[in-house]
Amino acid sequence: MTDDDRTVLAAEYVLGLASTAERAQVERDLGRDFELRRAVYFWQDRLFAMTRLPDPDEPSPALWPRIEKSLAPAGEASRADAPRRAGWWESLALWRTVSVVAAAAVLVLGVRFLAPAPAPERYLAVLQNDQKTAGWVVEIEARGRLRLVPLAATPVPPQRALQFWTKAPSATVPTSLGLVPGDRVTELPAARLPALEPETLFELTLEPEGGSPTGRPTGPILFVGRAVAL
Amino acid sequence: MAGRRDADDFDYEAALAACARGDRYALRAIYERERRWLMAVALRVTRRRELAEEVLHDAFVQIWRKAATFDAALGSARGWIYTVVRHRALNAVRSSARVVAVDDEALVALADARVAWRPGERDVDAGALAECLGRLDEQKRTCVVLAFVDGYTHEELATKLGAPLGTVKSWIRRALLALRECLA
Repeated sequence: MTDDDRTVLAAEYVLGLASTAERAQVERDLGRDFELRRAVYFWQDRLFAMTRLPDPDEPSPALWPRIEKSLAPAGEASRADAPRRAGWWESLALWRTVSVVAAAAVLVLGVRFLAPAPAPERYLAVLQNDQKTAGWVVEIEARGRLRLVPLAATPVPPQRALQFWTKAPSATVPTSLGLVPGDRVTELPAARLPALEPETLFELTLEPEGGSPTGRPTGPILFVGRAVAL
Repeated sequence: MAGRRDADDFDYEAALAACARGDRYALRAIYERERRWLMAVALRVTRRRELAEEVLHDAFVQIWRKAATFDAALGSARGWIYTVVRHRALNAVRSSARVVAVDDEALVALADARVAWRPGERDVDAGALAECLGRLDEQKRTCVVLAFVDGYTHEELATKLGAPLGTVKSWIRRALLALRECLA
C-alpha cells in the first residue's frame, strides 16, 4: 500500500466513507499495522473540530442508568488484584455523597442552616481540589445572597487572579461570577446566577490578572463542586 | 484538533485508562462531559432521537470494553471516543436503508464550516481545520463536511451533488491528500 493509499483509507475510515467491509478490514488491521493506526489517529484528531458543528443536545436522563446496567458487573471488567489508583474524576463518587460532606460543613460553619428556615430554597456546594480536600463552601439563599466562604486561604500567585464560575446542568457554558480574593468571604446577590438548580456547578479557576481573557475558564480548576438543595 | 487537554483540564487519557482498569466513575465522567456533544453528533447522523440514544448506549458499552485498545502514544482519547460513537451511528443508519435527504443541509453545514465556526469556540480549536477546508474548492469541501457530519456515503454524495460516483470518489481522494498536507 502506498503512503497516499494509506492516508486515504485511514481518512475514509474515520469519515465513515469506507464501506462496511472496508471498515471491518481496517479494524482488523489496526492492531498489527502501526502506520495505519497512526494515520487513523491523525485523522480523528485533525478532523475533530467538525464534531462541534451540530448544536449540542441533551440525551434523556434515563440513558446513563441504562448504560451503567449494560456494563459488566463491577469487578468483572477490572482484574481483581490490579492495584487501583484513585483518580480525581472520582470526585463523581464524592458528588454523590456530597450531602454528607455538606452536613459536615454545616456543622463547621455553625448551626445557621439547622435552624428551621421558612421555605426559601437554600443550596450548598462544597468545592474541593483535586486531592478531594474541601477548600471553599458556597451557600446560597435562592432569593437572597450567595456567600463564597474559604475554609482555608487559597494563595494566589502574582499576576494571577482567582475567578469564580457557575454552570447549571441546563447551561452550555460556564458563567463568570467575577474575581474573588483567596482569603475572604465574597458575597453577591443570588440573582446574579443565570440559573440555580440542584447539581449546579461552581468552580474556582486560576486566571491571568484581570480575569479570563476569553470569558470562559482558561486556567486550571483549583476547586470545584456541585450544589445540593438543603 | 482534539487537544490532549480541554480548556478546563479534564484528562481524557487518564479517564480512558481508568475505564480500562474497570473504573466506572471514569466512564461516567466522560459521559457527563461529552454527552450533549455526542448526542448532537449521533442525532445528526441518525436523525432520530431514540436511535441516537441507542447509539450512545452501545458506544459507551464499547468504549468501556475497548478502552484498553486506545493508544495514547498516537493521539487523543477524545478523538478516539468520537470515532467509536460516529461509527456506531453510521452502523445504525446503514443497517437500515436511509433515504438521502434532499433538504438544504449541505448548505447549512457549509455555512457552519465557514462562518459560524470560529477558532476557540465550543471548547475546540477549529482554526487549522477551518483554514484547510477553506482552501478546498466547494465541491470537495462539501464532500468532506457532509461525510463527517451527516454520515453521507459516496453514493449519497454523488446523488446530492449530481455528479458521477467515480468523479466524487476522485474529488474525495484529492481533497484528503490536500488536507493531509495542510493539516500535517
